[in-house]
Amino acid sequence: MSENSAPGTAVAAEVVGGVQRTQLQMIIRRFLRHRPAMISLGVLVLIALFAFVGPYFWTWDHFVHREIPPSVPPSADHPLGTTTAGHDVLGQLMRGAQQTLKVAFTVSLLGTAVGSLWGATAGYYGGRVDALMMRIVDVFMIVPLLVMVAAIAGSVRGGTTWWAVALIIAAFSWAQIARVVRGVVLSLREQEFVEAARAAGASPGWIIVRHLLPNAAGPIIVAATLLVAVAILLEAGMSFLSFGIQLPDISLGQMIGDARTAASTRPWLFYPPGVLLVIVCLTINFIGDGLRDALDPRQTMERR
Amino acid sequence: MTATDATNSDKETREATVERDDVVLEVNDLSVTFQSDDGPLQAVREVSYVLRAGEALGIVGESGSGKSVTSMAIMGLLPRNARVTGSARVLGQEVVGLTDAQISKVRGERIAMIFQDPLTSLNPVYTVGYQIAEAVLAHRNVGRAKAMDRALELLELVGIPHPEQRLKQYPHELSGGMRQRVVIAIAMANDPDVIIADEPTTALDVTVQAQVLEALNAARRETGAALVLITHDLGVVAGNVDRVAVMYGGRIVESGPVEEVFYRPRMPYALGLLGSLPRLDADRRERLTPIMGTPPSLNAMPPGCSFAPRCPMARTRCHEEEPLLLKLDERGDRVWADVGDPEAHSAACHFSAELGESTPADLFRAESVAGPDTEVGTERGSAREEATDPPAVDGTGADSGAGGGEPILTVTDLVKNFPIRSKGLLRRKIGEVQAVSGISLDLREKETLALVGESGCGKSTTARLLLQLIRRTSGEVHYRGQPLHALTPRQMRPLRRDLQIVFQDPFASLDPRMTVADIIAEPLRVHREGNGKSRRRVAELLELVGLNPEHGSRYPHEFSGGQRQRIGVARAWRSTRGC
Amino acid sequence: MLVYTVRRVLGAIPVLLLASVLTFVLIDVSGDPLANLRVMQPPPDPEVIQLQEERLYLDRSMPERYWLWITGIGGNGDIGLLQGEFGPSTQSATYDIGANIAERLGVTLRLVGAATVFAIGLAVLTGVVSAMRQYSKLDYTLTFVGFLALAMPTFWFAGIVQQAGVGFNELLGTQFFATVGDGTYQAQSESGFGLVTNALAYMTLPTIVLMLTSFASWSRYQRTSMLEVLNSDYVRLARAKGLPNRVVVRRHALRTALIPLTTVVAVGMAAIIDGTVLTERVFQWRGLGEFFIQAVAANDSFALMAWLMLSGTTVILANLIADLLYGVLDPRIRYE
Repeated sequence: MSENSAPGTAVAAEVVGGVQRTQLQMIIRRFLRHRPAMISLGVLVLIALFAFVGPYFWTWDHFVHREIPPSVPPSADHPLGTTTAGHDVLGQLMRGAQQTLKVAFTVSLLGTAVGSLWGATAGYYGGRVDALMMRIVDVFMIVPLLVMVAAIAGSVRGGTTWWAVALIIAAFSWAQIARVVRGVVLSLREQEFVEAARAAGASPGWIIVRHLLPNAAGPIIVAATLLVAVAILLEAGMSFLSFGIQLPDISLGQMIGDARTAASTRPWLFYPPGVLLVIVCLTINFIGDGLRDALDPRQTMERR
Repeated sequence: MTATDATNSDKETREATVERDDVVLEVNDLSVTFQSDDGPLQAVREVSYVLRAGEALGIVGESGSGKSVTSMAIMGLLPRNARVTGSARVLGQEVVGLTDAQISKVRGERIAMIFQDPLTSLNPVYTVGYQIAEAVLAHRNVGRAKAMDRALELLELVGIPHPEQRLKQYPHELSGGMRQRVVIAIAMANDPDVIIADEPTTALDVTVQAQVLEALNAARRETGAALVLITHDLGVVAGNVDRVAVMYGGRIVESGPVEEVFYRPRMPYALGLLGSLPRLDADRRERLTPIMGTPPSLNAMPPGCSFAPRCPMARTRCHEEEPLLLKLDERGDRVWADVGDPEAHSAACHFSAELGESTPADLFRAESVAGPDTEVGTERGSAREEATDPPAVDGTGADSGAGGGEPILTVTDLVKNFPIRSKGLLRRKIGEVQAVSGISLDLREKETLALVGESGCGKSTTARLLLQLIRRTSGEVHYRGQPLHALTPRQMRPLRRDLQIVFQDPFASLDPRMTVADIIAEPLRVHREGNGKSRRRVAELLELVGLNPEHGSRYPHEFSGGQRQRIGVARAWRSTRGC
Repeated sequence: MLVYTVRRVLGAIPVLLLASVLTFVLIDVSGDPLANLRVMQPPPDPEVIQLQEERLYLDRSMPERYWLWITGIGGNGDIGLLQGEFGPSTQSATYDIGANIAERLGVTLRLVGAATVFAIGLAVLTGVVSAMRQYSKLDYTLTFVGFLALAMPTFWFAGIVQQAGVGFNELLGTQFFATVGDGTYQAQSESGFGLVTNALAYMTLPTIVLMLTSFASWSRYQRTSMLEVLNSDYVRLARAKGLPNRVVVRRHALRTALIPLTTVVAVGMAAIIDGTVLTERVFQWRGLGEFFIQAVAANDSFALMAWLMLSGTTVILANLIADLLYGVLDPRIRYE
């Protein structure tokens, strides 16, 4: 329920405000109570363990081995079956999840850093600086993201590694963050506390770092979380079109791309990578939702 | 004497005595509870009143006292997490618990409502005429053209000039005062029996307030409706209502004819409210008598009288037993008033008989400080005293003798223009609007200068111009001989130590992500003069403005509006005594 | 309104120009159109490579090439956007980029159009229902479906839908859903009712796939916007007037809550274009998606550029339309 919905809830909010609790405690408390987000966090941690620690405990990696019989359905030796070329699908899945997570979190980190600074600067200065900086953002917003990154990654000679894929995706996805942050900063800039800081003699740098960014932290964190999901889907899309991470390395999108004609004949190749992708994205979106509720209760509903 | 107080069981007898002939609204034991994260919150507790045809009742209280929630409950406009109990009868018809379809027939037809913020009350995508006609069409089976005629008539009644043109305009093309009059016109549309006006003038300027109140009176004259005027502004209540009900902590704590309540309040809270009101006829040296503390949290209601924690005459009984809303009879006993008796003056105070002819100063000044010139008092008292000490903040005019000597701030012909851009292709600058035109003033040491005016007249712009927060178009500002208008932002920064500002909005002017200590220390840190001493300084400043110095690690949202404003004062404090 | 329109159009030009520079430089830097030729074994005659370089204007500097690509001045008559020529292709000397795009445009537009329309309709419906029944089981269900849709990789979902279509056909022993191809050739021999069933057969499954992601995000947006309006003062006043609930919702809440959706849909066009590439790949349509994949695989810079300019223009156009629509719908923005 949004706080400004009715006088009644406004009263409720006032009262809650009267209870002495630090902001961080309130945020954590709200997040802990957001059940989908907490479950999602648990699942995501498990998947990360599976991706990064799993390979140390599992016999097969993601390469072709002569000992592996081709095209075997799930069995005790190969719980998720094998590919025609002789990969162990479970081994591939671990590696694929690992690469996906690495790409996604790198993209989110880079994209958020660049986008926040860009957006905060444009929003704070306003006027012509803002107009110019936002036109550049517009350019990035109008090109279809997947198509653009696929075109570039596909043109790069000699294949691409996970960090090249991450860099390319990050180079094009920071614009969304910049737009979000700029919008927030634009409204914050008009707040009296920013004027108060200027009246106290603070420099623009001080104001951006000490006042604007901390206050925009909520939307930034939420946008960064959602960017993880966006990056995962982008990377998967690129790999599906075979313009992403190149063989012999593997990613989840590539696994689905390779198995797309085998969905009915060899379902063990098609479904596991897809289900894993869906679960990862789903958990991240739920965590983002939980964070949004926790950080900015006015913007979204607070669950009871 | 309190031994003869009436009890709850006596209540039955008085209910039978209500005469229902001309009663248009009868509220009985209305309570509203919200479901929240922190458990149920009782926003309104057992509110009862009776409104007769043509009568005007003022409901007064601070924000959060439940005055708006009561009316929203009667209108059936509360969100779903609200639970309403008790009864509210409009012309004898029970409206609590009606379905949406049933209550739709009552709303607008018998009971209409006017809301606080005229800027958001009208739908931006429909014309004014359409929105008024819609109200007519909701209850009258007339044609569209007829409804529009009625809309035109209503606009004329509420005193809007050129109503034919206004009819076709969109809300954003009208001023706030005009929009509020449109809302009043909508309320009048079906000649309702009751109009509830929820802070109808709060968001408006003083002169516009008068126009809106006039429109409201016109509405009453025209429709013969009874009025419930909800406000926190005692000034608005004074000339416009017959009876007043004062609400505190979700209850009515005092009710009676307006003169009775104003001149002979029977409840310390009402007395305190009156004391907080500035009076032109009072001696300038005489201070206001604020009520200390803050209203209670709805989830942490004190067990006894909800005002007891702030009440200077509270005794043990007040903290233990909640007083009923009773009147004093001839013998000084507290007894149930006849609910239908418009002259009854009741108060929820165990000791209302003792209040007699007390003045606000008697009651609220007594415990704070010994006298206005004493330097030392209790902790809180001294803080407040210093904050309003003439040399620091409080005003002394030229006549007081403090304003001698050279001016430290000189302003000559200050002008600020904002450009008007064309709506054409190039958005050329086609003109200018003068926000500030040719202001000159001198400010001497220890002098206080007041800039007074309606909103939009340029007072805030002037203040910001003085501090170079916005750049002037022409004119000069000198501070101790330095031409501020000629400095670059970088050159200006060191001077900002000596030129501070306290902002209007205590909610927007404190960074919500900073602790109070960080906020107060920011000017020190920015000018690199904190180095280690800033913590002690912050504690000093907090104490100086009457806040607990240990609360520095808290965030602004944990403080009330008034406390926040004091934090703003502490931040702006640049003690000349210390340095 | 006219001035406003002209201003928006003029504002779009620098963005498009900037986009063209950006994409041109990135495509140019990231790949070598003759990469395949150069690594060929046995190595081809250097003269062949030189001829190819000349044909593809690789012998000129990048700024020159950009200028040439825009204006066509100094070229061989096969280049110059302003002259309606998209440049030579690496795929073959006779491959006409413009003609190829024109041929495939219809196929793709059909899919994009259908998906956009259905996504908007469904998003508004579910968004409003969700907002009206906030915190109900239905709201939670729709919210979960939305999250699931947002988490679903388009191409994987496409694969599943394709399988479902095949399964459906097998179960009923019909060929109701066509799961491969775009049906353009079949349509040429049909008329009237046959045309409709043909379109239905080929369009249904890809449209479902393509609209899913957009539907989910727009539906979330519509819900939020609807909730905000439902809690607004003017909706409260409309209720206080005595209007029945459904009138309040339709006339006051929905009407106003729809306005911001125009912008969101326009921005979402870029995502839909992304989606077509993937969807066409799975259903093996010969649309612009396939054209794009071929172009990347063949290092065909000019074909890629043409493709990106086309999609960029589409998105800008969509934004322009949204802006103008906004002006019509919201009197506060209306300009004379």
